[in-house]
Amino acid sequence: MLVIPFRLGAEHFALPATVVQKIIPYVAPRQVSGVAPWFSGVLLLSGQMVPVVDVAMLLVGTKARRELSTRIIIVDCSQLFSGFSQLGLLLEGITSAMDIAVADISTGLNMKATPWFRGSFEHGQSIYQLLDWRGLVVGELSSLMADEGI
Amino acid sequence: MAQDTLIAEPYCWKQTGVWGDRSCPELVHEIHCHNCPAFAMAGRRLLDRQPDPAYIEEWQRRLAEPPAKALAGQISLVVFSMNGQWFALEVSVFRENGYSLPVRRVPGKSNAVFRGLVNLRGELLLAYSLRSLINPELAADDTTSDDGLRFMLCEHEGRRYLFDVDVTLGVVRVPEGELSMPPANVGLAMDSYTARLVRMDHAEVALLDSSRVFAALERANS
Repeated sequence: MLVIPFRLGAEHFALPATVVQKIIPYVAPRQVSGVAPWFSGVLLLSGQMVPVVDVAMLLVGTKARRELSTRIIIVDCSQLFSGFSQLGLLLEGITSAMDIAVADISTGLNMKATPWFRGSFEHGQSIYQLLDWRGLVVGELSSLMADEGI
Repeated sequence: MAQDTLIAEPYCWKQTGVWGDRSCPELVHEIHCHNCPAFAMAGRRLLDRQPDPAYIEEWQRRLAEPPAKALAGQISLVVFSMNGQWFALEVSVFRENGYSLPVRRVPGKSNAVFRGLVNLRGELLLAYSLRSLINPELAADDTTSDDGLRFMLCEHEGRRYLFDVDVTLGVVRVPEGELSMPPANVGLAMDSYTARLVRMDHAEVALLDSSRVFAALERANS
C-alpha cells in the first residue's frame, strides 16, 4: 500500500496514495474572511476554484508552516459536495512516498472522537497514523456550507 | 532561511565521506555518500526552507492556467528523411525508432524492398527498404550504405514494419488546412504513395498514405 507521509509538529501521519489526485507546491490560497481558521481559502487550479483546508489546524490547532515541503494534496470530493469536485489538503513535510504492507497496519484503536484515524504503522523509528481525510474534513466542511450535505 | 542553518556543519560527506578523507565507517556498507541516509536527510532538510515569494507567485500563475484545449483541426505526423527528401507518416502508426540494426537476409525471399529479418530485443521483425519502395532510383543513388542511420518501427492493422531512414525529426503537429494535394502533373512513383504535401520550416514534406505504403510492403514480402 503506497502512502504519502507527512508530519505535524513531532507527529507523523500518512495519507493513502489512492485518494491523491495531484500534489502541488504550496501556493497561498485566497483567504475568505469570516470562516473557520482551518479553512485556508480557495485556490484557482486549472481554471477551477478549489477550497483548501489546513489539516494541521484541524488536527493539532496550529497553522501549517510555509515551507518548501509544505504542499497541497488535491483529492476528489465530487461525490460529497455539489458545489466543487476537488478539495485541497494543506499538509506539511511531504517529501516522499512509502510502500507499506497492509498487514503492518494496526487498526484496533478506532475511536469515536477520531473518525479520521484508520490505523497506525511503524516505519523506521517512527509511528505513523493513517489518515482518512473524509473523517477529518467532511463533517467540518459540511457545517461550513450553507446548503451542502454529505 | 539560510541553508547553513539547516544542515549541521561540518558536512560529514566533506569531512569523512567521499569528498573528504573517506574514513567514515558507513562507507563500507553504503559505498558512496549518495546512498547514505544522513546525506538523504540533509537533502530533505533543504525543503524546510521558506519558499521565495517569487516561487509561490510563479506556481500560483501556472496552476491557475486552464488546461490546454485539445488542438482541433491538427494532425500529428512523425517526420523523417531518406536520401535528402522529407517524408511523414501519421503518428498513430509509429511505434519507435533507434539506431540501425543489422539485417539478416532471407535466401530466396530478400529483394530490394523486403530486406530480411532484424532482431529487435529478441523479437524477429521483417525489415523493409521504404526508400526502395518509394523511389528505386534514389535508393540506387545511395552508394554509401544499404542501411540508413536509424530504423523506424511502425504498426498497421496488427502487423509491424521496420525500415531504415536517415534522420528522424520527431513528431510535428500540423494544421490540417496546411496540407495540400500533390501536384497532378508529377508522375513519379513516389507520388503514388504521397497522400498530401505540407510545407514546414525546412522543406516540403510528403505525407505518405500509410495504407498504400504498408500494403505495398506486404506485397514485397509475399
